[in-house]
Amino acid sequence: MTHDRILGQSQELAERLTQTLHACFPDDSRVIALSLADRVLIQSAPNSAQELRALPRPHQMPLFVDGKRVAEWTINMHMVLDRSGQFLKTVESALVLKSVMEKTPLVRLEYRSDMRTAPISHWQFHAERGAFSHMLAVAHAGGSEYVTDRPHSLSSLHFPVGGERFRPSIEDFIEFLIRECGVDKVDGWDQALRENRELWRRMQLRAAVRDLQAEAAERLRDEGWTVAPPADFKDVSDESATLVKW
Amino acid sequence: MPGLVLEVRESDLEARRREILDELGLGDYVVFLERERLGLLSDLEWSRVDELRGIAFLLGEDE
Repeated sequence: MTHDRILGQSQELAERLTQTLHACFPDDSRVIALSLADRVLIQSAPNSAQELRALPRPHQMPLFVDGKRVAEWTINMHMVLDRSGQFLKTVESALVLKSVMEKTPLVRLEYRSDMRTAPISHWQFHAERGAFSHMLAVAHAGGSEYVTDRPHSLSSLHFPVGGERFRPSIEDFIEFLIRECGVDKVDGWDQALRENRELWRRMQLRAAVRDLQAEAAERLRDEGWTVAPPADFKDVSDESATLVKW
Repeated sequence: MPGLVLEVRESDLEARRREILDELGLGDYVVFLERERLGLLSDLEWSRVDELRGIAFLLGEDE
């Protein structure tokens, strides 16, 4: 893949995410891409008519309730070339919600494809719940093999959400902010989210079909399709980490 | 939409990381990673987590 194609795909993604932001929130923040060699970092940025020049800082995008700034959020995505060398793929992402009152996050929705022990896609809640900490402390004191080594901190837990293929999208996070947290939105936000969520899920479904080609073909035959495998087809779905990793 | 992509330089990333670590009073990024692993991050350190991770990623230090 040429460097120009990397830059082109980065621009396309940043534009799509920026359009989603503008379709949902009364804020003119945008999404930009920083590139070094074949690596791309997608991050939120303030809107500005100025051309991008100096290394920009990550931008806390404001969230308002009745026009009053009450919280902030950020988008971060790490992207590299996929196995085909043709397309950028996300290897790490973090969507982070913070209160304006402190810098420690309220919640983080993270994805890290190289995660070893924690689920590769997970929510982290920076909150406290005495009864939960009690349960964890008892397990910790009892020498449980797997319990967190920080039983007093709920943020040390990683709540799994669907692995690589079925993890939530940015659209899901935005809808959570609007529908569950009650932040200000612009008219038509839900239509924009539905369209972009559909795009995301179609892409994830295509990837899942690639993981499970024999099963996909069998299902299509059940529906009356005629589907034949290529001559060199070898079913390697049993080796697919995306199916078994949490 | 105007250009949303910026090609960055290693030297700028390394200088920015040094600036952040100095602000946090940490000598090295490894110290920050260890504090993160142990759940010891302060409020200010939390505000720099994703920027530091992003710099390390662009520098290829996750390989």
